[in-house]
Amino acid sequence: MINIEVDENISVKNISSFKELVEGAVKKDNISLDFKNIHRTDLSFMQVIYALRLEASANKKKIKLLNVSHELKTQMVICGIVKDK
Amino acid sequence: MGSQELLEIFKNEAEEIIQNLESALLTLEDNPDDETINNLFRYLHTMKGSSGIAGFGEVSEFAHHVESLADKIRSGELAVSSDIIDILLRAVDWFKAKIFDPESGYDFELNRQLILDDLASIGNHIPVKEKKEELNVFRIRIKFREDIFEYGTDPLILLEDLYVSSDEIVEWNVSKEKLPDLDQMDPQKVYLCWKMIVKTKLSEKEITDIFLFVKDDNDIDIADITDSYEEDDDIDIVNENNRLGDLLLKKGIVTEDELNSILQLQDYKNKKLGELIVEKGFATKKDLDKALQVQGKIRNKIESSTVRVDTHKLDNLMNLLGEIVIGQSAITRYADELDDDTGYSLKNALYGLDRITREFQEQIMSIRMIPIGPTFGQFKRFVRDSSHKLGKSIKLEITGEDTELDKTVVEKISDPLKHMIRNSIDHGIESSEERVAAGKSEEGTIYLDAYHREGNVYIEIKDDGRGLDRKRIREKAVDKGLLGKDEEISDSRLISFIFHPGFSTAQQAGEFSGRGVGMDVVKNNIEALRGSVDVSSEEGRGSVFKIKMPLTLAIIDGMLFRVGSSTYIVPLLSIVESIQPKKEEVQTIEGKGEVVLVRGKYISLLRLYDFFSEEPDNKNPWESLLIIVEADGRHMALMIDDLIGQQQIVIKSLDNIITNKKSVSGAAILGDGKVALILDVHGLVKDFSFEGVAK
Repeated sequence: MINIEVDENISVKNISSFKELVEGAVKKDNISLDFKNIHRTDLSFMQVIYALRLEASANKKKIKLLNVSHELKTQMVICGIVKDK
Repeated sequence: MGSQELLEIFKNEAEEIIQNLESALLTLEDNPDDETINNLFRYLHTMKGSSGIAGFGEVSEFAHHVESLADKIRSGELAVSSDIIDILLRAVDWFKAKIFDPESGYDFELNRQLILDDLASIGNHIPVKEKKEELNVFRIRIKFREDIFEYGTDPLILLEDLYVSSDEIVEWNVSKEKLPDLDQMDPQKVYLCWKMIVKTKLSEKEITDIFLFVKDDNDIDIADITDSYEEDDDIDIVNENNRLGDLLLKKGIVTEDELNSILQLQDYKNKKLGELIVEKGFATKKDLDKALQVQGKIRNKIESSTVRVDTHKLDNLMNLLGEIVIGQSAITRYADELDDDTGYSLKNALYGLDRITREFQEQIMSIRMIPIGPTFGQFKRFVRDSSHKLGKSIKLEITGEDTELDKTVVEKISDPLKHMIRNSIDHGIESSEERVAAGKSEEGTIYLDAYHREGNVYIEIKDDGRGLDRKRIREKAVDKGLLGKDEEISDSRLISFIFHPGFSTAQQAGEFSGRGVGMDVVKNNIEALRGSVDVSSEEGRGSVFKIKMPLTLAIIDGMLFRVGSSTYIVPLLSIVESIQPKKEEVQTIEGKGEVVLVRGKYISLLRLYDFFSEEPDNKNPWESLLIIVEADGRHMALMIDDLIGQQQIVIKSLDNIITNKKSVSGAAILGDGKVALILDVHGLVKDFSFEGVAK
């Protein structure tokens, strides 16, 4: 399991480097993404998470999301990454 | 997009949000209606999202806390009270300082904590209302343009706004069809699309407003399906054909044949289509009302199609048009030199072109026109806070907020207005005790009004306070040597001393005014906008400051005249008359310079050839022409060689090229390509005018 702590300043401005990071990681192992430093983000990040989830599923890898704030979860629901319960 | 550019976009947006927030809070204090509460919530939500994107993390986080309180108000958990409004206004101040004045010395951390503490402690309020049950249903389809991030917009903020504004999510489908594989995707592009059905208390306009700034460039369909939801879903409101007959046809209420027969009937019966349809029994009154409602919604949707344009682009357009006018004048000059037939045909064509360019000019000017309402609105907060500080009870009444004027004028008039309102609060309106003792209502009122008249905009600041103290003004004027002890003077002249630099009749300098700095600056600022300010005042009843402004700063009607080999321009509005004096009417008064007798009064004479170092046709005023100009009720005579004629002038700014700025307000390029200076009559009168009664 590769643990990645998501940077508090993640946004469209620096999303490319995050994408490269997870793209490399998912090829190797399962990933745990720790959101303890952020409580909300933007659409560019959500799309990368969405594509990462699809990529992991295709490669039979697992993605674990840790410390997801209420607001971040709402954002994930809005982007179709998780379902609202 | 560079981060600096992003920052600029955010600051522009934040300025607007802060203004809207203040206005919503002040409205909320008097009238806590649902629409204002929803707006308040939306503004805070936008502030949170936009500041986050622009790198103002602390603002975003703080906005998040404030938004939570607004959400409690929205859901009916908290009652609106003056205390809550105070806290929220303090939060708005915090945003303002943090974004626009971070180096001000304001203690952000301390104030943030104090506000958060107050927000937390206010949590025990009683619920005030039941949730409304009537919800509108919208079907929404959203496909953002791929490169939307480049415009500084994060679509997720808009989607969140929609999500939290929805009381019930009926469907929320996200299409990943366009989302490439991770290794193929450009993470700075948008691939996801949305389709949803939501139930909300918001109106169609409010839902549309969420996407206001993106809907023109993105594929966004919002359909109000409230009426057809559950029963049928066959009205496609997105089809912007909003004719009543078509709507009834689409809903299956009338058949095509029935509609055609009614349309034929309508040709010779002077009745509305709807009335005829009901009269003929093709539809019930209820069906008709429903269709009319839908029609109204579609109309609102069409009417709310707006686009934001950078004012620099409008300025450029205006400048380009100015160049076209110059080119046109040059062609007209050439046409004058051609033989009769060709010249006549060319001139005819040019008249047509002139009509179109004038219309074009008017259209561009109309785009620059914005209502004064938001500027007036910002004073509500100012009056509220200032009067509280001084322990006075003052309300601000605003009328004419829809009056439109040039954006530049609106931006520049704000400070002078604020100063005059401040004076009314500080000196004009009495304390409640004084007012009651004088038989007045306990609460004082300041009125702000704006209106158009005779091609100008008038703004009035009126109060029902104590009025100007003429005795004090006279004493002060005598003290300052502006007036002889027993010198007689007209009332308007006496009052005009309040605009003299360093002149204040306030016994004590207040926090707000009374330091003798201000009214002269106010007057200068208004005059710099080619405006003027008049005062009338009745002791014990109040004062009225009336500001007269041009509709636009870009164009004037000017009189062209010649001095030596150069052409000059005076704004037509400043000209009283032109005369040729008699020799004996021109004299020199010691200490006052050269004067000319005009209608029983001596007024200053300025030889423009001397002033501008020109070689005149004639050096004797009685053999030349004099233009009599007026500013601030004072006259002076300008000696010129010849009048050329009237013309609409597109003003070009001179910036700092001309050193004697007080006498020249700008320049214009003439048809022959030459530059003509535009004289600043206010500046000239101020520096050179003398007026005295002939004995």
